[in-house]
Amino acid sequence: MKKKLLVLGVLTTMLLAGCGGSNDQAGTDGGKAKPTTFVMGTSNFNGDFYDGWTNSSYDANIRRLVWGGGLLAPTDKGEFVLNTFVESRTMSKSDPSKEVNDIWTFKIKDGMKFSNGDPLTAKDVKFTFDFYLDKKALQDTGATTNLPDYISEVTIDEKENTVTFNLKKVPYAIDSAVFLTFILDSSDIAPKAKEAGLTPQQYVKANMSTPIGYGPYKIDEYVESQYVKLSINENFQGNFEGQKPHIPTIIAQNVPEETKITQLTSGEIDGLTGLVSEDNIDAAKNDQDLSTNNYYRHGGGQITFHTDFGATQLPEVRKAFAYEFDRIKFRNLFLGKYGIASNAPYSRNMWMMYDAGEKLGEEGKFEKSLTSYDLVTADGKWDETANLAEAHRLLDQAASRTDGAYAKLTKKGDKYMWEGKELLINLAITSAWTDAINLTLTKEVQNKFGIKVNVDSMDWSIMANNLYGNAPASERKYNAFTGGTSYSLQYDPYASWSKTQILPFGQGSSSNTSRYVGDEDLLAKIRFANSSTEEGQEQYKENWRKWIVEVNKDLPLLPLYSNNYYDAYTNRVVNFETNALWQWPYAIVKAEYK
Amino acid sequence: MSSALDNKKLNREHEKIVSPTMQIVDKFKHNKLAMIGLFLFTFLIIVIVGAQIYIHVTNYDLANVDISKKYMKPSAQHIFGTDAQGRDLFLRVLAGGWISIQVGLLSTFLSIILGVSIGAIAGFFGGKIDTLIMRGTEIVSSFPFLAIAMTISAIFMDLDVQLRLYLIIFILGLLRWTGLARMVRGQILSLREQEFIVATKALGISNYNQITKHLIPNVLSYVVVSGTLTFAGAILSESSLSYLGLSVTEPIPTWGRLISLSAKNSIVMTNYWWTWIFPGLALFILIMSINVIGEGLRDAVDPKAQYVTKEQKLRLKEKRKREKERAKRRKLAKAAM
Amino acid sequence: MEKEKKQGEKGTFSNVILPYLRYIGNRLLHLIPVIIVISIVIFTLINLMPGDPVLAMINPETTANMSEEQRIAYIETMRKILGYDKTVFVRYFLWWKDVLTGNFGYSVALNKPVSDFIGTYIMNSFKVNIVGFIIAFLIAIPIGIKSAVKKNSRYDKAVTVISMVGISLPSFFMALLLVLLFSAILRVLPFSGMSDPRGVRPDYLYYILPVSVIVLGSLAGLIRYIRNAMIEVLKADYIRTSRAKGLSEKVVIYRHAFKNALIPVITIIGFWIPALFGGSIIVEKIFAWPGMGLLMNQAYQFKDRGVLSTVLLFFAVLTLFANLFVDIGYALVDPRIKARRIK
Repeated sequence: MKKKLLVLGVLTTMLLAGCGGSNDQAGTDGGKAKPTTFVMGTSNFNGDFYDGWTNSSYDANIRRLVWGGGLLAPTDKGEFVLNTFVESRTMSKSDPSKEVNDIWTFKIKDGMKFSNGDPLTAKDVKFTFDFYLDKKALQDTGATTNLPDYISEVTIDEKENTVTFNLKKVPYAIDSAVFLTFILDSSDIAPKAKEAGLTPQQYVKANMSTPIGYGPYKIDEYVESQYVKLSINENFQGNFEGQKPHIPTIIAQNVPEETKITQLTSGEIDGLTGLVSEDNIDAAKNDQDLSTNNYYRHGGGQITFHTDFGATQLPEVRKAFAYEFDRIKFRNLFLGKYGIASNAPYSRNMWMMYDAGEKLGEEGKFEKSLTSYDLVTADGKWDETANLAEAHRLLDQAASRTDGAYAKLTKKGDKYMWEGKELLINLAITSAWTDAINLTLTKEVQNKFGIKVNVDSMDWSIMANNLYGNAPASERKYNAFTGGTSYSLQYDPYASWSKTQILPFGQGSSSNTSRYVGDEDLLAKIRFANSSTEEGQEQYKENWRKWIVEVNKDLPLLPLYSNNYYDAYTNRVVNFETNALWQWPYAIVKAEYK
Repeated sequence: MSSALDNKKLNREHEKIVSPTMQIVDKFKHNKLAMIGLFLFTFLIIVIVGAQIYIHVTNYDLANVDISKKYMKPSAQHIFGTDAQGRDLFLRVLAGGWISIQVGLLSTFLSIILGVSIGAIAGFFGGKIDTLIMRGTEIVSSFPFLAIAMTISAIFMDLDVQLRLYLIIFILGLLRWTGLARMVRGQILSLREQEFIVATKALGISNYNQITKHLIPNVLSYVVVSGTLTFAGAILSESSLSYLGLSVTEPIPTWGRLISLSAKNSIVMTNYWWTWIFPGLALFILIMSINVIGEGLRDAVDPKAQYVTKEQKLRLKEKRKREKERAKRRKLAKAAM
Repeated sequence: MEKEKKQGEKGTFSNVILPYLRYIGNRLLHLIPVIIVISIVIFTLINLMPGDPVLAMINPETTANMSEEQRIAYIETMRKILGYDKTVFVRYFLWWKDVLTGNFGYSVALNKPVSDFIGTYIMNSFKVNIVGFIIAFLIAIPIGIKSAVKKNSRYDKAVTVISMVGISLPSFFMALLLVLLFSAILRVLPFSGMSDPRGVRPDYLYYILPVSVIVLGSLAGLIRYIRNAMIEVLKADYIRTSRAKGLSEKVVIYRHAFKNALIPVITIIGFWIPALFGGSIIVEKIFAWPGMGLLMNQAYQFKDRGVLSTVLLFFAVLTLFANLFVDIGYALVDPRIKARRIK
């Protein structure tokens, strides 16, 4: 028996001795040659590599590597241009009386191919849009689409290799809503689906992890919950700059949250994106072998109020709460030093925030002009006395009014009462926020300011359903919700702020989560601004700014922070320029090992 | 007459009648390992209780956050350094110990009450009741602990923080009594056949009294052993629950929570080692000492086990020495030949 | 057993085997109400979880862009797919029908039927567990025996202390310490995963750390158990007889004592059967090991009721059968119980 142990011991030592130092060799052919593999650490993917089903951003990154765009493709400035397999686009009006061009025709270049050699023609485009316009077939497999809202008809001319779209409406955001749809390989899907006796949608659903695209990379290997291995697609036509990928193999590896940074600093993986916590970012910045890109998140975190329920109906209460909430302390607790303030639903990546001569990413004149609900002392510290005074001033002002909902707010001696009971806000949060929220909204703070906040932590899905109004009205309890938002590349506030997007509580999902009714005309003007003329763009900017000012004044939501995102990667890779609008699957095309 | 008195004197001098409990204590005392465990355990308890008194007396605010002091290394001012929010870790670790021990004690108490009563009833009444209860025990013990704890915790997600603590205690106690129940039942089954129980039945003592006054005291020693091990297990389970975020939240610290806060990120573990070494060490020492005490108790309670007294040890040593001398002499003698 | 067989050759079946079969059959019969009760408890608990299961599955951001009828139609379809258009009682029986026919429900998180993927996950947990258990046994047996033979010696005490380390630390803590030491500092082992995406490092390297955590956690209990079983056996009369006969200590220990000590040990393996197929929720998360633990984790995150109820039931039933196996094992060995059961 003892001998067995000895043998085990010897084997183990041999193992350890033989494997030391193999890390650095991984992925290279001998010490000096250029590495051929780049391993990007990500969180877990669902394996849904086709659009329309689940929404994980990690799956989306794989899709971007496989396709890279639809008929239109994004640029690194967040604009849209024709994809490199498209020859031209012509727009016309179906009727001279129309204001905007609602007939768009795209000509596909001849001789285009998918990554597996299948031809890429107008037929594939028609197949794709038929696929995503078939509401019933999609829903039967659990997918969703809103293309039918925009498109009335799609026709093709096979000989000319052109596709024509008859559009129902042409809002500002039509490019990203319709023309980024990834084109599917009909020569692959249609016959196989027929053979198996399934609809194309069912076939795709059953083969989610083996997509065929025309983007910079194609999938070689997918091991569920572990990694995706991709290699260069020889038939790729190049990105918007005509760049073709340099790195032969890309691996997207699922790494656990606990050890991901150490894996990066020890060379086990080559890159990580979207680092937010101070510990991780500092570790990456301090490492000699890593480079970092940083940019402000195109989105942020906020507390959304329900402006039609409870005490948060009154803007004064919402604003007093904003003064009570020490966002500076919160940012420090939640993000460390890598978070910046935000005072309305904008991000510093939006061109509309800047005047001529101002630099993208810095605080412009317009941003400074917005009201900040954190009064600070001369040296930038949160001024409790000033915030307290302002909060009380607002509450006193509201308590003295007796019209409409204001009648419910009264002042009894030193305390504020809502409907006869103490003034209370029910805040729903998810577990990640618990510590930071509890340490910011302490009992003392609540008592001093006179607004009690009841904090309940719950699962995201439950909170989301309460936020969107997807829960029974009789059980309605919460009137404030924490959360994060990501803005799309072409920002249209109508979708989330119009009163048409409010459904009665309990009767459906309202995408206007704050249930706020503001200036409807303004929203319509922004929505239908003409993105193709310079005049249209100017009007868009002007009206959008007016809307930001309105939302900043009435405070249907309280923005808490915007992150400073860091992408970290081995410094052996150069020309890897990610930014808020240009994620790593796009930027990796230009990157190469030096 | 005088001989009878003499006999009595002789008996009193030479025959020390030691009660079973004293035997157990004696055996335990001679187990060096267990004594070390006991010493460490008492030391920890004293320090933790002392800290708790200090916190109450000075109204120390555990939620006092000072970002400017975050992640400071251990120093004279902060013996254990500070954590991510700038709070002194020394007091947090000690306060955490208080909560962890409370959780362990209360849930073990619940487990013991449930286990002993259920096991006693099953063992005593036997027959159908026994089968029913044993089936019930099987049901409870067949649930994977963490999974059920997570499910129950998910059901009560929106509970007040203070109540969460009691919910955790309740869950821990509720899922851990089955082993004890089985053992108690087994013991009682065998005790039942023994004469003294038959005697109590003959005397007409009520069932209740039989169980409580006669059977259970005999099982007590085993209960104590099992109880200490359950205690250790409960504290460990609480730390696992903390790691998954199902236990208490800020600003209440438990050791599990303190370790988890640091263990969530390996970079924090490497750069700020003091945030997990101290709570981890404290947890380790506590659990180790409890386990060692439990093992010592188990050996002490076993009637067949014997301890080696000092005199016996000395005598053995002498014996070994003498044998070695003899062996050496034999060798020399052989060599000389 | 041998003696009995020799005595009543013609009556072997009815004397010996039939009573055992009767006993086993009896226990199996008793298992059925237990399983039913367990299934009801699991079903109730899962359904008590807050939130509408259908709505929880649907990402509200997806349905927000739909029109009213679209949204209602979509929710109705999902309800039908998940089976929530029926009442609780009907659902309970339908659940049983599904389980018995091999349909393990529909996973909300992965958007496919559970039976599609559960096999792989179970296999992954099994792989790492079986290696861990075998190694734990290989280490525990010799050490346990030696501890029993050298009872109360310094060796015995040292073994007690060292093996206790494994059960005095939370598993996630141990896992992270190991990762820090071997992957970050020494850089000899990989951090996570089951295989090397680069295709360079051999698969077995990925097993080492997770297996170590399992081994360390189980050693203490196993060594203790073997030691105690061995001590009991060593006290027996036939051991004294063989010593008196003049057999060498080694032969006494290994040939006679060990074999008999193994019997209770083998029955204890029964308890480990459910553990073989389960996976630690925490440890699998740290090592990104796609096993049952990770699956349960995901299921809780997404409130994936289909996966949860089926997996919980699977483990409960497995544990019950393991208990049965252990009890039968004991009955085979312990003459007292034998006498009672075989009437």
